[in-house]
Amino acid sequence: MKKTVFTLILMLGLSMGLANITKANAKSKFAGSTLTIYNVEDYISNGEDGYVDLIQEFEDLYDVKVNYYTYDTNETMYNQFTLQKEGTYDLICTSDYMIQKMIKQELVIPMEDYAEKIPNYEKYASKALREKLKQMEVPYQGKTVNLDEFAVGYMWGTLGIVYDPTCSDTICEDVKSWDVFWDPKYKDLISIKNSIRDAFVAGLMHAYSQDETFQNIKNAYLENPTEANQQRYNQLVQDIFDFKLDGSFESDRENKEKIARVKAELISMKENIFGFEVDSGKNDIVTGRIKLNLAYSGDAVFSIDTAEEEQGKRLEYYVPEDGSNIWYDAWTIPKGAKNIELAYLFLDYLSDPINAASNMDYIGYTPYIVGDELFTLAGAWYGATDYAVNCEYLAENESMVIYENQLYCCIKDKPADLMIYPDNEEYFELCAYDPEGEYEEGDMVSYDGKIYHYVSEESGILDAMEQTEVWQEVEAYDLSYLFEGTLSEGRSAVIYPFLGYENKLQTQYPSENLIARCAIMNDFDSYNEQVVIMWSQVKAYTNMVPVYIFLVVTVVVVSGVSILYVTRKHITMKYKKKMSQK
Amino acid sequence: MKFKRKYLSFPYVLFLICFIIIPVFFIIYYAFTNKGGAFTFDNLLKFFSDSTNVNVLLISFVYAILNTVICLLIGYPLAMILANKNYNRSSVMVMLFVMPMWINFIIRTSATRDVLNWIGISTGANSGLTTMIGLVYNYLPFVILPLYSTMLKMDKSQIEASADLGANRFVTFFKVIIPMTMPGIVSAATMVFMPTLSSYVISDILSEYNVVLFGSYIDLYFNQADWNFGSLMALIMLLLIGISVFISRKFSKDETGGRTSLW
Repeated sequence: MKKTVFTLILMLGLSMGLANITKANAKSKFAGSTLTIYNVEDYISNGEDGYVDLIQEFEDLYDVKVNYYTYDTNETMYNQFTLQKEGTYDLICTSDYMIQKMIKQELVIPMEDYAEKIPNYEKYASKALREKLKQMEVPYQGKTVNLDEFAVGYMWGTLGIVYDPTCSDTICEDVKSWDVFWDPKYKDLISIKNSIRDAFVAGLMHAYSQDETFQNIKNAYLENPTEANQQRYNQLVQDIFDFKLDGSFESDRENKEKIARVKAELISMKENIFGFEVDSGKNDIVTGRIKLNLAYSGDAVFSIDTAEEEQGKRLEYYVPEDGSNIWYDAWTIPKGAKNIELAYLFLDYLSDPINAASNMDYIGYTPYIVGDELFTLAGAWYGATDYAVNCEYLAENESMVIYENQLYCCIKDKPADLMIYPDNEEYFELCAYDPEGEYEEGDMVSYDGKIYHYVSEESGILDAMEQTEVWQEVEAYDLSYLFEGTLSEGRSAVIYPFLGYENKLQTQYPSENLIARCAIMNDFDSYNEQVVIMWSQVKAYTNMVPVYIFLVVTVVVVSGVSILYVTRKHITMKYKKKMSQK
Repeated sequence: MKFKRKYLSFPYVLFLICFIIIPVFFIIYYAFTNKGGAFTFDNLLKFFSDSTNVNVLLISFVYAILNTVICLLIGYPLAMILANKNYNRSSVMVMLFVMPMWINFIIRTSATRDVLNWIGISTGANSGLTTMIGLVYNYLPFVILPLYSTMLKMDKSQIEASADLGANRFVTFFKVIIPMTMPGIVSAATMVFMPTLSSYVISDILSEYNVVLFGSYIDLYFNQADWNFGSLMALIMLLLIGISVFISRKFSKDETGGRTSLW
């Protein structure tokens, strides 16, 4: 079954937008004021290709003006932001470690009560993800605060490897470990992000996952995944990522050793890879110039979709099992912001699940916000979900829904405000197993309370004895750890992925197990300078012998020629003088 | 108030101050201060205490020298052909060689990357070679133009005289034509050597960031918000370029007795 998707929220957003405009004309409390935003390029649904223009909609809704500025890297943002005078921006979106740094330097101010100022965030932000932000601690004005007090989460994801599953027989096994970047089998087929922190993750994990203690703790977790073992493993990865900042001699020595180990790893990796990339990687992997790419999960979604649409090619994403980096991008209010109340209003607007869904639809990254609309969108893209009566379903997407243990397919657009259930035959068609029916590869049916894929090209029957041949039970993918408490009552956070969509679904919404292996990479703090030097040494590392030989030869040749030239001139002059004297 | 001719120079003086003199002072200021703004020589010490920094500079020199030599070797005969009325009756040919310069060089370089990979020269596996190809391709017009214009102005009677006096074509070329086109060679060489030393987009794109020239090395530090160290390296590069201009000017003066070079 081929899924044409990506239009669901378009209509959803438009209809909601209209409804909102009429609603908001009354509250013009902010009419005429200006909000200045600083965000990453291409990081909000902006009205291109018929997507919702969130900024425009916000302006219309509250009769305000939004100045929207963008940057390319967090470092550029920091450079620009610190150069501007205070009060230039009202809202800045940036990554976790950068927020830490800005809090430490007291460049941003704490958020006020979320429940009062940003009720949508309080209600719809995933509790599990906010818990992660709460774990990130940082000193501020002499006390320890956490990131959740300062930042409103926007998007999040993991760092992993996008790869072409056909590039070797063992690739699916190989990407389970970071060793793949050092594997000569993939020489000149790998590209790495030209970014210190991301390359650092690969170097660190490759260096430390070889250690015996690491292997022991990892194996203990894999064999017996209890909460305690999981926590121990997660803490271990976190310790590997973190620099010890207590200032003692012993910690300093350990930190320096860490940098030296990563340096050695990255230099040896440099020999094996195709190159570093800023933005070309996600296209190069689509065209097939490279086969493996270190990527953020959001970019991976983009690559996988583009490869499928443009080349009919299958790409996959995997987060190596040893562990990786989990990252968060979030909004902060800088010190001296002029329009704090409006900034809160904008954050509340972005935290509305409808708008978050528009963003996920356009950008491809996974929002912090969870809720019915996002779950429905994920369902439209990746698989069958429990039916929610307050959500829109589009016939074009062939949305599959589960209602009272039966699978239904949407055959006519159902608007969000039409309160009907899938037993309404005008809008939904029952997809229960029919012994008379003809099925093709990828079809999904419900049978006896379970969901099955048709996996063969031959005809087959769904029978308890024979089902594994042509009918495969679909494994439920449980996202309740993320969506807990935000879905409508009785709706389970389980997705039954379409055939071949399991990997994409995992890329968009990583499983709880995967997240347990990932750690946040805190700001390098006082070790930043040393890491930058390490990185510049890695980047500039090359065999210098030919360079030295070339330069020596050049100097010898040039000086030889000039000496020859000068002496000859000298002799000629002398000769001329003699001649004229005669 | 009477209008004086020197008022006409005011816009240029203003431009000079705003975009040349003040920025140079900024570079000097940042180069000799630390992050807190206090005067220090630490950046200078940092530069010479790590061999990587000097190595990057040396690598850039190698690329700059090679690029200059290759460009001259290709460009000189080409300019001679173009300047010869027997082969080239109109300036259309010259225009064809200069035409790549009309396209923005980042677009051109990205296209070069695709072409190179397409014909099988992997930018990742042969990054040194592809960088060199890109550099030569981009700077060749800068060599052809000055050489072409000096060759047009060349005194043909001297070449005839040399032949009359019994010199063969080989001797004529080395003893007459080369010295006569020396100002062109010098200005062509400077126009290639100096920008190559500081170029970085070409090497970044065509070597997949594997070849790091001094320009991209400075960029790396600026991007990581280390303006002071970046400025110091920019200052060092400025000095080196200044020295090379100085030498080349001396060189062209010696030969012709006047300032005929572009620089």
